[in-house]
Amino acid sequence: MGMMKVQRQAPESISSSAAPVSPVEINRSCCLPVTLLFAASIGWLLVAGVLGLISAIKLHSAAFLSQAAWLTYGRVFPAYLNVLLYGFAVQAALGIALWVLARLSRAELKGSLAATFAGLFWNIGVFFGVAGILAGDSTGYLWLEMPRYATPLLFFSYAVIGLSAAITFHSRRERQLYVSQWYLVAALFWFPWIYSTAQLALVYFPARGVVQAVVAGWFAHNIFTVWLSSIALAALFYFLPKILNRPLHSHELGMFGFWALAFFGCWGGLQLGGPTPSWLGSVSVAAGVMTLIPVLAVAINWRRTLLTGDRKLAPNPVLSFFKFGAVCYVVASLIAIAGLVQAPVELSAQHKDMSETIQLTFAFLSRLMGGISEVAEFTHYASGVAFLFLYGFFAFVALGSIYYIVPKLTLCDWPSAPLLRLHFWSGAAGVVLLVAPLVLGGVRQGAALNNADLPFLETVRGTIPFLGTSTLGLLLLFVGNVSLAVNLARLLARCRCLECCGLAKDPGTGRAPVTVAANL
Amino acid sequence: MNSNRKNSSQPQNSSKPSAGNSGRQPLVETEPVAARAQSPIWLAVLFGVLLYWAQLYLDNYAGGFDPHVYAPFRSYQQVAAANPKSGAEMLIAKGEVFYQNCLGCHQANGMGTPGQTPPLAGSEWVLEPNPARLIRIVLQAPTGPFKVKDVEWNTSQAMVPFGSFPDEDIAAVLSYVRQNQQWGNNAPPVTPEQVKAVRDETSSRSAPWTMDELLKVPITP
Repeated sequence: MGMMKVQRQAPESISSSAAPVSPVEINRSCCLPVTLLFAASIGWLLVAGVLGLISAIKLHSAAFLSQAAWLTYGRVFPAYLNVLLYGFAVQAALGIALWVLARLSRAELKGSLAATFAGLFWNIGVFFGVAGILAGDSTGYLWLEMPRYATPLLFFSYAVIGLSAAITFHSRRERQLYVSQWYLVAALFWFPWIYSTAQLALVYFPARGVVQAVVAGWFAHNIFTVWLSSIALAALFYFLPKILNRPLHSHELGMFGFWALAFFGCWGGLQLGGPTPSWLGSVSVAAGVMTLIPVLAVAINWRRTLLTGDRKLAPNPVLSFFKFGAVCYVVASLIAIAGLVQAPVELSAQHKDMSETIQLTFAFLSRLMGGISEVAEFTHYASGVAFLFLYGFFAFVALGSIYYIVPKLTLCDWPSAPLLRLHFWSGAAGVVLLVAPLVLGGVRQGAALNNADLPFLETVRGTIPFLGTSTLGLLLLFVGNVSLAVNLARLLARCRCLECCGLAKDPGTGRAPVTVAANL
Repeated sequence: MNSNRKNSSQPQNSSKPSAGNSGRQPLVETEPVAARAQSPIWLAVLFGVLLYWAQLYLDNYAGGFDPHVYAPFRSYQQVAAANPKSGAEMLIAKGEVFYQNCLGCHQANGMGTPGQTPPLAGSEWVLEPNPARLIRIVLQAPTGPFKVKDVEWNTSQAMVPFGSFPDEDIAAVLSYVRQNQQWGNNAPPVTPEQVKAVRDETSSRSAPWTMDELLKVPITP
């Protein structure tokens, strides 16, 4: 599939004359790579569900499946996290980015076939990476456990897909940029930067000493707070107004939120109190608290977009996915910020003037928040927040996008509406059952840990009922994801996808696309 | 299952032409656009307040952006105070502790006890740049008459030998005494190696030293 050369010398002068490509053509150009990325990401989501359940059960029943080395917690758990991140999240995010960028650019996806092959190689890379972790070759850095023989494949596959998206964006027919495009284009360049930096500084030419912890913390923070967030925020900014069929509340607020996230989001992830220079941790905390601003900015924008309409909307299960994801984004961000501030000692009152009063007020607030981190540190609280972010926010937005996009690509509707509703409700219940016990149990565990009279094993035993409940949450999530997989398998089986993608020459056989009104 | 049951959400535009294959149709589906509503002013105010808080936070916890400052310390001075000093300073700090064994007679001010114990402050035996004789006095103790600062002292039965203590302790207390600037002393510190050298030279001797014997010990620099 050759890249379509757009002949332009001066984009500004000619922008109005380049006619936008019809959505049907754009969908057709996206069909192959995006459907592949989505289908594979859902496959990995099921694998992650199994691995996640195994590792969660091990937390309260230690002897479960402990016979073979590759099934021990130290291998299954990192394998789970990596399947979830690279198999599901990044892959689904790439699919969303390709489609949304092409649609907003009003241009066909360029390099569609190259992106498809890159998607295949990405999956091969994930397979070898996860197999390597299970075989015991983990690098030992959180979210970067994949061994060095798998990661170059991931990097170069990403590069090809990213290039395809960048060329598509470059050849856009609509010069007016929408908020989603800022997030998506920034994210496109963010991942290669943080991933290659982390790989080079940790695996290929390892930095010495505490620099390793600094790089690993910086990467883990950036991949979530900046990269995955940006893609999911772009999806929310795109789909909320689109499904509601009304304009986004404010372009300016959207841009403010984007730049605030880009500026403050990337500093975090380092702990104050570790064996690193204080300024690293305190800059991290200060910037982390500042991310309250972009979170509030997007929350206001969404809320006013949702509330401005006067029409009563028909209940829409796909919109529910986006709404749930949006709420989880705000809640997860607020909980994360609340647990961030550490105030180990009271602020020194050294300025003998008005600012002392202000300082002491801030000190009081800092201590209130510092109290949370004092209790929550080194407990399940942090994993609760991470799961709320990954499952509640990112996964719900990504799955909602998949539910929206796949029928457009395949010209075929979801075969089962009950399965879709089942997915939403079991997924939502799963997120609550997974996250609430970890956060609340984490607080309880932290209080127990801070009580010097309590033997350590007692504090561990106290977490078991909470961990058991969260395993139930993972099970519900798994049920929901299986229902999506079944739905997708039936959809792909009956819709003759090759014809939709323009690979078969006769689209008239069997199902006529005209009957499907959702083909935009 | 029939495909005209719609779960997917798009409000349908009934006026659109059926999905044709010509690439340059006019847009039949609008992509999202953004209105131009103003941002709320309280967000800008909160932004400013948080920036001020962040500046106070960094002021208090960033340790002046000095790479040597780490938590829980707040400044380089605090880190320096909490950390081990150089080898010589550590030796003197240790010597101050060991000096508890000496101050019963030599006194905390190093002036000794008039008529009984000679002073250490300003003593030519203490301040001699080569500590070879001084180390012998501590290891095997002195005996008989000694002349210190032009005064005769009888040291018989007065001081116990400290040869059973390790080289490190003896070097430490001698460094403390020789470097004690509050007493007006400022001689080079004594190293454990110097103590060991003297101990090896005098390993066959257990008797205390008379002044004449000590004066025969070479102290060439």
